[in-house]
Amino acid sequence: MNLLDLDNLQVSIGPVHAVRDVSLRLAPGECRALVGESGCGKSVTAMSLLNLMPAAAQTNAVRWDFAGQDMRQLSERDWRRLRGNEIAMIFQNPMTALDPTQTIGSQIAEPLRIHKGLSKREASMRAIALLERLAIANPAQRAAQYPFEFSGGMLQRAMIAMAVVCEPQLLIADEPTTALDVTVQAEVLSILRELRESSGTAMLFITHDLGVVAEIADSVSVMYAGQTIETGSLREVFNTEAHPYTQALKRAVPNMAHPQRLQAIAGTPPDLRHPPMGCGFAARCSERMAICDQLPPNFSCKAGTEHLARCWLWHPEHPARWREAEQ
Amino acid sequence: MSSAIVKMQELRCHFGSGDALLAAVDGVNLEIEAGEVLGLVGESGSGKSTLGRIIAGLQPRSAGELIIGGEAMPRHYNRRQFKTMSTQIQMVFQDSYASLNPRMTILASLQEPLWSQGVDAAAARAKACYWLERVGLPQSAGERYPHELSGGQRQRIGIARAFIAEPKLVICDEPVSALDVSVQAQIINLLQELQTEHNTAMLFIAHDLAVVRFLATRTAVMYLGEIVELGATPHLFEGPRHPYTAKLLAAHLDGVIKERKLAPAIRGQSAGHKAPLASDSGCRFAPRCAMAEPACSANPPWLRPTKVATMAACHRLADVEILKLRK
Repeated sequence: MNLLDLDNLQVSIGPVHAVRDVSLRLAPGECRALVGESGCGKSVTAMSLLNLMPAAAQTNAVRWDFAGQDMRQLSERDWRRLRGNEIAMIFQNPMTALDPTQTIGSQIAEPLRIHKGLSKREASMRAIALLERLAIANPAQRAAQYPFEFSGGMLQRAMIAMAVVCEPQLLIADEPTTALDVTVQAEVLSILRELRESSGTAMLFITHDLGVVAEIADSVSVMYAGQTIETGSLREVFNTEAHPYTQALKRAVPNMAHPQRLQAIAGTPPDLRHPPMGCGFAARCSERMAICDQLPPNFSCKAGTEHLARCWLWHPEHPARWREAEQ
Repeated sequence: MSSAIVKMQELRCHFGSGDALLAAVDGVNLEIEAGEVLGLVGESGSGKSTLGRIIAGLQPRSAGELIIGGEAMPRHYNRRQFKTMSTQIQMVFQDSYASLNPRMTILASLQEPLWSQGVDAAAARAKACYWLERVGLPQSAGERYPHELSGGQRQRIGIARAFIAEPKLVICDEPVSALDVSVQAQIINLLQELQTEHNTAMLFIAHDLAVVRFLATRTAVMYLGEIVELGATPHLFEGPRHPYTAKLLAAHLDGVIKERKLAPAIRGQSAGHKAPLASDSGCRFAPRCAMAEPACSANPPWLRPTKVATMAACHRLADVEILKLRK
């Protein structure tokens, strides 16, 4: 059974149709990367999954099940029981996500006291033990310090400690390494991988960095203009990318092994106040057909796999598919 | 006379006072030749931005010589010197929004460097219009204000503004790190085109190794205020001789799916480095270096030629080269 089953999530904030159709599936223990550029709706999706969107936002989903519960029915009280306990989040910028007036130790211990009913002493012991596991030297002294006394990499580890302290079933990481140096990023990624292997936590890893994705994910969902446009295993999406946007994205990234002229994607993403009638990527797509401007494509299946692409090229009625079928 | 536009000799920039002088830049010797693209890589806190700002005259140095266009520059420029410097050196900043005046139209911002050079109004306007088009923006963008443009468009303006006065050297301080992947490729291609077209020298400061590999003819690697390795980009990337460069390259994620072995996190000591002090003795990388010996902490290393025609500041250079050659 899937841990998370999200089907056709829609989020509007005022006039902006920020998320237009996001469908995600996560098995227990799976790490899925959610890839996309700024403004494509990745962070709105993450915030919605924790029900942290402002009241003005309208959220709808055809299906939204987490660990067997229908999340659309939950009251705010239920959400509070869940957040930080069964679903936790690592934010991009630990300096703003942590409370500057509380010690690191007490911030890590707080979820334990609230959700698990541990005493102050017990909770703080657990927090110190966790800091030690995350390779922070002198954890007891460090736990008594405030965020400003930590370096960026250490703050992000403290942030991770806070998120995993209750051993959640689902960990949402929103660009957790974007603000970090490469060597620190390598450390944080290896810590996350270790945690995942030891505790079996499922992870939704939001990033725009394809390098990070190759390093940590089992499966990948690519987002564009508020929609998931391609989904599949890491190998499928990386080695046999199906959607023209994913293909273009890969060509736009400088490659150390073969430095050659970059193929930029011309144009800009559509304005989500007035989303296009057809495919969101059509205006920038090199393989655009007449139908692309008129009708939005569905998530069509690539033959024989779980690899899906929201693109008319993969529609069973596309001539290329006929030819494949004949062979 | 050499063709160096900028020459730095034992350049230092120390902050603070008393015993704990923070050595942001500590004894840098570097020349930037006409028409070359020099990449400057390093992690945050390595002093790469400070070095760029010293050259651009935005930050007074503490000691050392700075020679621009054959003229030895004083620590603080007078009006004439600032003008000479600014006709030769321009800068592109990371934050394109903060670097444009929000109350000036784009066209006015573009003309500003020309006004200060005494170009007459009509000519300045014509040139600004040309540049607007050259960086790929419609003429209508000229009447707009910075907040009305997207990040990528604003960075194009930042670039046009740096190139419009036809400087000999453009310093780019992380010009693409705030941009999305697809936009990044557009900006990198634009920078490369302009650089070749005008044969402008460029100091390209970045933490993204792939971008530097792509753009730079020579690369300098900085660590805690010092240049630890310097050389032709392909040589340096293919045969790093300084253990720090090797570590930096190993931490770079190239988006290729690999068999995952847990990279050992640096245990005990966090990679979050300590600040460089003017009073440091010995190699600053020694505490993180796998090859460090007690002698490394005694004396500072200096840049020495390697067998691959680069320069590396490592006491154990001879051993590194034997290890590499065996491989």
